[in-house]
Amino acid sequence: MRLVLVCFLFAVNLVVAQEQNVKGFVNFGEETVPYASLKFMNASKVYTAYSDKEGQFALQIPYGEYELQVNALGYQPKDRIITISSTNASNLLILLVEDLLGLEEVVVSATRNRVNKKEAPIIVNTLGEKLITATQALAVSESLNFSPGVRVENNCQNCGFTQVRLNGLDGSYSQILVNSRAVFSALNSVYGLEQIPTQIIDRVEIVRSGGSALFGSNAIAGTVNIITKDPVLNTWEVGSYLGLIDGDTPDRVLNFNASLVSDDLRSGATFYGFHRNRDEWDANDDGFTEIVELKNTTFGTKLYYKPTDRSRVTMDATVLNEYRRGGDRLDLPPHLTDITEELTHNTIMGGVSYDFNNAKNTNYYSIYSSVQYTDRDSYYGGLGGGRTAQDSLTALNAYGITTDLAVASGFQFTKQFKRDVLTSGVEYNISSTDDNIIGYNRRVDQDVNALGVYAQYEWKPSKAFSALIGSRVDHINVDGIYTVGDISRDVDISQTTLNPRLTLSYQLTEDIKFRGGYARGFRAPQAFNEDLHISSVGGEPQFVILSNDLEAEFSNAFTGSFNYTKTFGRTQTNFLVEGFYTSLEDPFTLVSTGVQLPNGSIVEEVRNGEGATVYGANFEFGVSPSKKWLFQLGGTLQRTAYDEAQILFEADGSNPNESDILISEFTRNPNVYGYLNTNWTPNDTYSVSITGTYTGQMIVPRVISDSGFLSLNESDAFFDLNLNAQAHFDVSKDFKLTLNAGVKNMFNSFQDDFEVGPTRDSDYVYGPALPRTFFLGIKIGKMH
Amino acid sequence: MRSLVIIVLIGFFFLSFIPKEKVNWLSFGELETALTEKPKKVIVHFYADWCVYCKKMEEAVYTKPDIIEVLNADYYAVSFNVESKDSIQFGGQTFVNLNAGKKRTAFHQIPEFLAGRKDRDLELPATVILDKDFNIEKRFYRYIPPKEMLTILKQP
Repeated sequence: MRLVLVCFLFAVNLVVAQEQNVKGFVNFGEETVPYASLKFMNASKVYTAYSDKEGQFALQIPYGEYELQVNALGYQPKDRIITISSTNASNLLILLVEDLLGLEEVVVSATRNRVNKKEAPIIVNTLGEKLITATQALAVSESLNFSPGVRVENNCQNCGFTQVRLNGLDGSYSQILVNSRAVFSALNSVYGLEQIPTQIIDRVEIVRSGGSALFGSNAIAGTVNIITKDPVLNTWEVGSYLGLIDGDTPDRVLNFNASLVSDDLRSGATFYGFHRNRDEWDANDDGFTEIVELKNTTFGTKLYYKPTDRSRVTMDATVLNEYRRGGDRLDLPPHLTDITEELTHNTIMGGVSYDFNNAKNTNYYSIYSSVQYTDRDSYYGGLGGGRTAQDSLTALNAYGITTDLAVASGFQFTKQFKRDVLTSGVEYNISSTDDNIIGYNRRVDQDVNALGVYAQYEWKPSKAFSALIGSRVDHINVDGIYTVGDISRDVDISQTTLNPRLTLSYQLTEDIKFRGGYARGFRAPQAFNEDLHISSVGGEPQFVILSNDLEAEFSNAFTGSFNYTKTFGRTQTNFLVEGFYTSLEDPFTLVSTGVQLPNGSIVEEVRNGEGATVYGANFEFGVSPSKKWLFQLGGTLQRTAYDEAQILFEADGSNPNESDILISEFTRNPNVYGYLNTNWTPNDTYSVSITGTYTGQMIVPRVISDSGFLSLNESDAFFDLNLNAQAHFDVSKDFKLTLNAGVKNMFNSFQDDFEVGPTRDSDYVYGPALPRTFFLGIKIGKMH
Repeated sequence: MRSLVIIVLIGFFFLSFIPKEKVNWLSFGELETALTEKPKKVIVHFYADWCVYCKKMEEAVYTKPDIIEVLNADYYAVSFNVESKDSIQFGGQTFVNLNAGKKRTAFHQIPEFLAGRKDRDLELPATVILDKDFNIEKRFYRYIPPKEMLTILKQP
């Protein structure tokens, strides 16, 4: 790799000791070479000059003989003896020969090859640390609203269970991943989103619609992928948060994390801990909670070791202990109260993955396995306003025990061709849940084994066009026994399905990209998420049970989008419009069958409902004129429609005033919702953010009689606006301080018609999760 | 006994204040003078405030006693923020940040000149090693672990 430098110099000997104006060009053929360095040396002095952007240089130098050294990137430096005289002084031409093989010793960067968001074939929305700070989110569930098409709803005022809706489809249609692994089990998804502390999160990646074969068969609405931090520096951080819900109910958090990484970056570990203690809050002074008491302690670690340059072992482990209780008289034992939902979770999660690649960086292999085990004590019940011996007995019967095991193991192989990428893999998931309330004779004993094999080819025939063509074959086996009182159902099903996925993208112009996709998905009959939750209605527990002959549900999802991204100087702009259309065949639907059990409890059945379509558009608009300002606005306009009216309540005919309740669209699903996110960072010390969400009107079912009879209410629209001010001080290089203060939901846009008393319908909650809440936060440590 | 423990503890406390050897970082202005007075090899460490791996270099590599020793003995070490807005006088020429106020990541002319690449973006941390005559010898666009750095520095 020797470079050849040729200097053609027009030299005539003439020596003048006075400094003269000397000008010239450094050229490569006809082209000029900018920023070349020239050094003219004689016995007494060194004169330096650089060619400018146009390849021109000028200096003041006496005529005479010099040793000239020329340096320019891509050209080997070389010495020449030259003579400057009046004949060549104004036209010194230095001609270089370029090296066609590139530069010597340019080492390929070790940083991983991240795919540019703009070029990705699938739209990925990222929620980063900045947004999490701006919203002062304590758990993942609180920050997810700030992405188009995503809405987190609170489903129960006795236990505070939340779920994520993507494009209006409920939680069971999306997949929640932690570091791209499906470790969330059916039980986990009930409270899990509230249990992951935000301090360990690097970012959350949201993909709407299941256009990639890598995602599970049920991930038809999309995936929420929680990526945890990877340590580089030795850091530590201790933080504390105090929130005052409605100005008086404290919510306290203490957390810490520390990272140790070896100097050669071959091994490292992060340790974290989180403790939250939130008091219960009662919105309407009826003695029953609207926000539940919560105590959560989490400890965890994530560590890695790189045995060689091309391999890496990652391990993580988390222990989580959570206590939550809602209802009334929280100081009494649960069975002496009117309503109590009390849950103690002991969860341990852990995982190992081994990643390696070949020397040419074309083949990547990953083997992984993660396990989650939860042991839960539950109490869902109470006296329900009555004081008879039967009420006391029912109340005593409400204690339950749950065990839940989830294992996800897999192998993934990625091959990088010149431009195309092949990804294939196998994944095996086991989920075993045993939820037992002996007193009620209620049991969910379910084993789900799922084997998925997938392959996906990213084909890029030209720079503008790319296609993701993939398919997955899923074999799922569900073996479950579901009992409530004298009703017993069982499912024993084995099913194999083929789920093709396709995404096309085309770069229309330099700034506009079109993407379109199709995905087919399916869900096998099984108890999931809210089916494991017991709500309280009319002073009695309300159970969910799978109906007889429940069949698999299929769905087809189409998306199309235009994304405009342009940077004008310092101003970045981004505009996205995305249309989606999803049709569901035989969707699992909850139908209230009224009082069915001898003790007066209401039973809801999961049935194959009427076919339905969900369609609409997401939009996102972002402008950032400089690093100091950021504006983002996003939202969703959508419609849901059942092909034929869907039954929600089945009357038994005993009460002439009660008839079947039918509905033509989804409940608890607004047609308009969105968010805004603005940030102003005038300098390194201060920053102010205003964030907010809008939730449009929606239909919320409300149980209005002991029989479970419903009324369909239209809710108000809500606009939840948050303000956060932050100050950051570098006390020293290794000690920094960050202070936060602000208010969440500053206009107190909050539900105002909560049900009251022991016979209330605990599921009748909607809208923002918190009333007006003031908060203060402090973080100290060696952060970066 | 107790007082002895206290004395020992205080002793350790003061020990931690014994000045440690540090890399003698130069600015480009100082480098020019130094080079004319006594030519030595030069190492340039390019960093940015947002670059985590650059910080790791500063914390884990440029703090190692054996590296500091070689650097201070055989090299002139220059540390430069690629987003600096200062005008730098070097070799009779003024280098400025032409991108400041125009681009998001506004690189100064100096890193463009010393570490710029034809068809790829400049990646940080960038380390440039130049010989006694200020000719580029080696360039690295990644984190260099301490052991490897020592080997690189000791190469003639």
